[in-house]
Amino acid sequence: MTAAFDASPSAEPERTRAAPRILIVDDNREMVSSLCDIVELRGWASDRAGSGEAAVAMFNRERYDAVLMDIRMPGINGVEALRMMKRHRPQVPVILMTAYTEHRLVDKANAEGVTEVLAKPLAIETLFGLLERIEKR
Amino acid sequence: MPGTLKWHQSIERKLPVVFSLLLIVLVLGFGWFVSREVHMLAIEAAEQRLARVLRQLVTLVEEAARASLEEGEQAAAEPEVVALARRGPGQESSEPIAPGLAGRRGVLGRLAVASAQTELVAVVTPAGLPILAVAGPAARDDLDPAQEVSRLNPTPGRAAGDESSSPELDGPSPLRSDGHRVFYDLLAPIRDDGRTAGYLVQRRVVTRNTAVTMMIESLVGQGARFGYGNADGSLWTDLRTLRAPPPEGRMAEDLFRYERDGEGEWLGAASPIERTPWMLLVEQPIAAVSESSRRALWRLAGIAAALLVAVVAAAWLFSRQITSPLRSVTAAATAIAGGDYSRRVRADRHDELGILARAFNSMAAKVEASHEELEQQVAHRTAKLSETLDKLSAAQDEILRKEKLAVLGELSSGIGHELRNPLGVMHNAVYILKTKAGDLLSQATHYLEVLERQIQLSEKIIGDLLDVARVRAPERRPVELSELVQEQLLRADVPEEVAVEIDIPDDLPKAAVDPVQAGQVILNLLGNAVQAMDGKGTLAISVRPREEDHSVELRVADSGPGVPAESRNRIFEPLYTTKARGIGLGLSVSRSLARANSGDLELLDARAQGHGGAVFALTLPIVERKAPE
Repeated sequence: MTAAFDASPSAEPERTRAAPRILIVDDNREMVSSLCDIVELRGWASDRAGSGEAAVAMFNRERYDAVLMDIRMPGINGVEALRMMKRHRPQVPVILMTAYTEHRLVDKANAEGVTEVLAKPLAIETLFGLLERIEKR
Repeated sequence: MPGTLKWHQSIERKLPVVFSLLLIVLVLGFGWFVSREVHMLAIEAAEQRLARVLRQLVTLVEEAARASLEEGEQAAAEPEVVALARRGPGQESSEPIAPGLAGRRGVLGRLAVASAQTELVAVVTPAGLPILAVAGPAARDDLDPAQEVSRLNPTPGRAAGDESSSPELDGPSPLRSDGHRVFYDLLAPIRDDGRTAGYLVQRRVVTRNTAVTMMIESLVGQGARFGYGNADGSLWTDLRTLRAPPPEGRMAEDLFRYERDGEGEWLGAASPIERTPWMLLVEQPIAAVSESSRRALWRLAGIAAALLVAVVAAAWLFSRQITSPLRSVTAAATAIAGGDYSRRVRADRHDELGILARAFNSMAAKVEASHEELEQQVAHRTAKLSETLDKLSAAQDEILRKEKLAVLGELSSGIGHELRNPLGVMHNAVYILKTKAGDLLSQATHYLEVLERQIQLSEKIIGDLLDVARVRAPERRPVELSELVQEQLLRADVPEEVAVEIDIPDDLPKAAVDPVQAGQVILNLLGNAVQAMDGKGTLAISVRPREEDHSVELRVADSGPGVPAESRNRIFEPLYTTKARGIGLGLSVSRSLARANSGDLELLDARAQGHGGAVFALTLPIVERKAPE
């Protein structure tokens, strides 16, 4: 029920090729849009997805420099989606977010090769630090 | 075995009856035997007495008869008498002779007064014709001796018929009676040159001798009678008057019994008197003889009756002596069966019943002891059961508490997650606005900062909530409690109006706890105390070592209103609160933390501690000391 609004690619297609792209995944539409705005402040292009399934489909179709994804979502959760993404393109860094540290899922995510797990609400400076590191790579 | 006995089952009643019956049979049998023996002995004695008296009488009479005969014979031999006989009947014979004159008449006169029974003495011819008669003392006043002599019957001579050939007439005649008196004659022949010249006759009356009769009868006694008669039974007298002869044919026996008309059975003894035609008889009614034995028997019966009463009484007492201890044993057994285990019986007797009583008492003591033991065991088990139930109840409470905590944890987690999303969005929005809208009014920027701080505060509340909902594993290490308390006092921000009293000994051993968790518990207790006192009062903190279980007890007491009785059992439950603000987690989490650190948190009974407010006791383990000294 939440996957419909974000089935399209980003609204700003005209970007320099140099601009890195991030896929932002959350079932909360406002969370996704606010995060898109925030990463744009640092010059990142972003695509948005409202569910794990949509995110995996977009990840397989497009090329992203990073993924920022919530763990708890209806349908396949963030860790499940992470596993699928890593199977397809393991080199793409995936950052997961959680409102509360759900230990088992976090452990699983670490096992699947997650880049970082951030607690909600996001410490934005921390996020920016991570993005900077990804850009330098 | 309580219950009433039927009459024939009771020893107490049976014993006297059995003894009495036995005694009655014995007395009756013995009495019958004794009475028979006594009766026989009495009769035997009576027979012997009769025989003895009879023998004596017979001897006397024989003696008297012989003496009289001899006197007669001597007199008959006197020349004077012979002369009279030779002379034959003359004038003198008809001469009346007065008794008083007898003395003057020579030999005959002397003979006439020799016996009081002599009526007359006469000399008669062989044919019986009187020659001379002299009256004796027994003669009646109007007696005519000559006439009396003429009535000699049978006269010796006449009976013989012939003078020369007449047989010797000698001795006493049979008794005769003329209707007034009973008498006999003693004849002595008068010899003159070898022929019988005549007879000397002494006539004696026997019925005038009442005194002799009475003497004899009293001598024998007991209704004895005396008889004197002719051996042919023709005439019998008792010396007073004529009497019936004894039954014919029985006199051949010395002793005999016979039935007298209307007078019952009689015992008799009879004997002939030698050289006379007479017999003597002494007799006695058997009823009189057996009278004494019957009296003896009645006395015996009286004694037997008394004996019977005595034996029955004795048997009754004896049976009571046996049955009353048995009854008391029965009563005691009933009482013990009814639950009175301390009941005993008297055991001061030295017989079988005493042994029974002692055995009973020892059994009763054992019953009592085992009953007590059983009761103690029951009490012990009951106490254990109660303890187990308490533990079970506590465990159930704990489970309930943990369940509640688990629910709370899930709830907190859910709420936290849900709240953190909008908070996150707001946070992002504030960040974007602050970054992009630098040209906005400074007031708007100020409120954005206010908004950001409120977001951070909310975030902290959620963080705390999530922290208390999840007790993490303690990291225990040695902690100086006094330092910990001071730290928490600083954090608790105690108002100045609250007086703080701290009593912690210097040599207190270190506690082995997670300092963060223990601090959280202490802080919570301090905060509760301050809140309970509404900002002013006394807060007392004391720590005491408890050597017995290697722990220290930290008490936090306030001077507030205390915990209401209805809340005492519930204040450790999660989500239970008595405060207007607060979610009711502090004490629940504190207890969980204390227990996770091998300690405990309890609410003490403030009144028992002499304290008005609430007193909480936090027990914490101490670092195991190395060997003391």
